[in-house]
Amino acid sequence: MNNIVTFISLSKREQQFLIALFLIIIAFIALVGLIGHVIKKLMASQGRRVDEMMSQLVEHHIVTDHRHYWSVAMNKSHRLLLIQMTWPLLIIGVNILWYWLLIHFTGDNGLFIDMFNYQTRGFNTILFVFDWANTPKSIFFGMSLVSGWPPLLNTPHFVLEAWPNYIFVTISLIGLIWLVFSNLAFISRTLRIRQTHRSIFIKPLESLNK
Amino acid sequence: MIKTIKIFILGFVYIIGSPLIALIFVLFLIYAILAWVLLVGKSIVIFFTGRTIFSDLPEDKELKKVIASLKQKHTPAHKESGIE
Repeated sequence: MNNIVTFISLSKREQQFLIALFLIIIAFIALVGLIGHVIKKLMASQGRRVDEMMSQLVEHHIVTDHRHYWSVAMNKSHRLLLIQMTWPLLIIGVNILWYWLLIHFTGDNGLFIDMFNYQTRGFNTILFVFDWANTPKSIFFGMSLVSGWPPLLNTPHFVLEAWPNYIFVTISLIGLIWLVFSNLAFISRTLRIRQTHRSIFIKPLESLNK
Repeated sequence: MIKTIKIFILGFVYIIGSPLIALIFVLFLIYAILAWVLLVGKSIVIFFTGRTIFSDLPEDKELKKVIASLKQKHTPAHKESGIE
């Protein structure tokens, strides 16, 4: 009751802020849901690869029990894992190697330390950098909540000396995203094998009575 | 509308379950990288025996035989002997 009275007594600006905050939270949850939905669809398409690999073996009664199904399906899934993970791991490996060699031969250890430094020659020089620690906050219902955009520390600008960090971070990101997708594919195949390895060999009792 | 609400509810579930999802993802990633390393080692060993790791499994060979025999069964006798 006391809280409702407090809300009514809020100024117009404070009420607008609360509504905006509510909308941001709703949008964030919806965005997470949407990303999850897309990932789920991607995973389902990878799960179908198991059906593709195993359907004929089951149809022609070459694989006849769940243990055999599990071992053959996992074997095939691991082979696919070897194909899918080779490129991202190779990219990450080669990327680390040339960066390490560059630092080793130039003796410039500061390059690694400055990797994300926006003030000198880090990757963050080409990004917007916000001062999140000093974000304006206000007290609402006894809680300290964010009430404004944080101050801007850096606007994107190109620094020639930062080129190794630009290349290293960009290629690392590509390799990592690729690795994440190959891992998601492996997870979805494993889940599909787990889901099907018993169910496809079970005959409903009703069908036996016909 | 129902789909939007479903996505919203899913978003909420993903946020609540994100630590568990992250844990499962990391465990799978560690396993996958270890498996990849072992498979690379295995493929190198197999390579020096004159085969590849991607050669057919015994089950695949059996499947090929079954499919070939089925095809033979369905091929008319006059076509098989070459008589038109």
